[in-house]
Amino acid sequence: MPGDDGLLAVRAAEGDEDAFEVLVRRHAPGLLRLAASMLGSPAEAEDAVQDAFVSAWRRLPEFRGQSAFGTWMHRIVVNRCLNMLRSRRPVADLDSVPEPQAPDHAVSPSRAAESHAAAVALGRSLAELSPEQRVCWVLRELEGQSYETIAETVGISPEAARGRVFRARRCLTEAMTAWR
Amino acid sequence: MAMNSDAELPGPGAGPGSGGAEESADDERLACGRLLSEVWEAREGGSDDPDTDRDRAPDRDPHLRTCPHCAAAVRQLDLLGVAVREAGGGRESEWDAGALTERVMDVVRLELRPGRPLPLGEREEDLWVREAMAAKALRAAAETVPGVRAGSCRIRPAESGGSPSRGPVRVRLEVVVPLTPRLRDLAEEVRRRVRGAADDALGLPVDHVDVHITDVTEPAGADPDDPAGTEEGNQP
Amino acid sequence: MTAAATGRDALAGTVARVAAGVPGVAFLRPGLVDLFRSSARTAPQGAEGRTPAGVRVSRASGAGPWEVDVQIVVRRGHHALTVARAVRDAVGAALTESAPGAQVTVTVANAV
Repeated sequence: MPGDDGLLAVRAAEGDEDAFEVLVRRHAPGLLRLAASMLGSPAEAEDAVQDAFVSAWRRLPEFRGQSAFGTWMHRIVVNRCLNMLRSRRPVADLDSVPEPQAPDHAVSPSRAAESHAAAVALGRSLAELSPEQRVCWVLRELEGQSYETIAETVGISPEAARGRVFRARRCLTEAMTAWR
Repeated sequence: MAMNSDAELPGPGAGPGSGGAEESADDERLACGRLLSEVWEAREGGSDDPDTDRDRAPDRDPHLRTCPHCAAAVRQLDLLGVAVREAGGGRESEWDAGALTERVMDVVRLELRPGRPLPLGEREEDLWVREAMAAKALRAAAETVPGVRAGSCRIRPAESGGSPSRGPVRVRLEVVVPLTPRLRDLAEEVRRRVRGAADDALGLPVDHVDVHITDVTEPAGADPDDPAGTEEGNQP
Repeated sequence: MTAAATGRDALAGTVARVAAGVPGVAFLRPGLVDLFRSSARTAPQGAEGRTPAGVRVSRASGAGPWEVDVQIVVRRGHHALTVARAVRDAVGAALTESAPGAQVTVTVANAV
């Protein structure tokens, strides 16, 4: 089995499910992290990524090499998360926002507690963003993507992407300032 | 000033492509007259690459270094960055990618794409093999040659007539091989092994095997994914 | 259920049992609805309703020869053609009385 994504994707498009399994195993961790950041919920992230891979398997014959497999999966996951965020009911009660993971216990307890509090505050603030703002902000802040790339992924202009990130930052800075 | 004036957020009276009142209302003009969006953008380095060294940004514009209003705005953004990093520190959770992979493959295996039926055995028999399954066997055979990686493998009837045809097939295989002056010999070896597998593993009548070398990799030893290639890549 | 349908289903059951027992056969291929569209033979609507996975049994007319279509998954290391022939021969032998002159098609769908 070759190591290269390109070869694996071609084979998977031709029906080689073993090649597809290698691709799934390779790309799942990164996509799970991405989806969790966007959705704020590990369980929903797993659903989103699982559905994205199944969708990719079905669409692979059309895809054949137009872009890198990882880039293509990334786009599928981002858009799936965006749709999931859009179909959520508005969060009226902040207590229903999924809590982020507890921090690593190798860190000192007070440090850990502060990290956790920061994570909770950030998680609540993120939940108040619009789906579009949250997605663009995660891509910019956590993935370090350029506005051009964000624009291509989500299907908007770079200017619009820049605007969404800015508005997200405004909301988040105000919320975090209040928290501190 | 921000480098990409086209892409600036539209402030009041600012550049081309200004959006409606909604966008300018989201921006904020600091007491010193600077737009918050511009100050933050400069904090990111002024370029579109957030990995650009942030310390360089203030040097481009002395105002940013000395203005207390801009400094306060920058500090807000920095605090957010700190919170993001602190929150991220607790997020090294062990994703069970293995379980997810299993679930994905359970669905995939119910929706396989077996491909067209290809003939097995003699013309007068009524025995077939699916293209995807035959392709797997032929790719595996090609990859028994050290350093060779198989990609696309398409198998088509060599003759027209009959639906599906019982005649011999033509195999078109794409491979990536280690760089060697003996490319022709390598292709021939791949061809030989593919024909062999068509007989020994399948019973598929093959008329022709086209081997297309689509890429070459570093010779054996340089590729950590292919330690087995150390045996053959550099022979004279 | 009509007598014809009963007969057909009984045949299919026999075929499935015999085919699955042939050395080298891992199992009969499940989930075959899509495959039938690409098959050379066409089946009457609903013919595969109650048939076991991997087997399709039909006949063009009430008195004509049965057409038996078997999709198998072979075990790795077994020669596809050899196993396919063995399935054809075993199924043919099993049907000599209940379906004389049956036309048996065997397709190797995968290897595990």
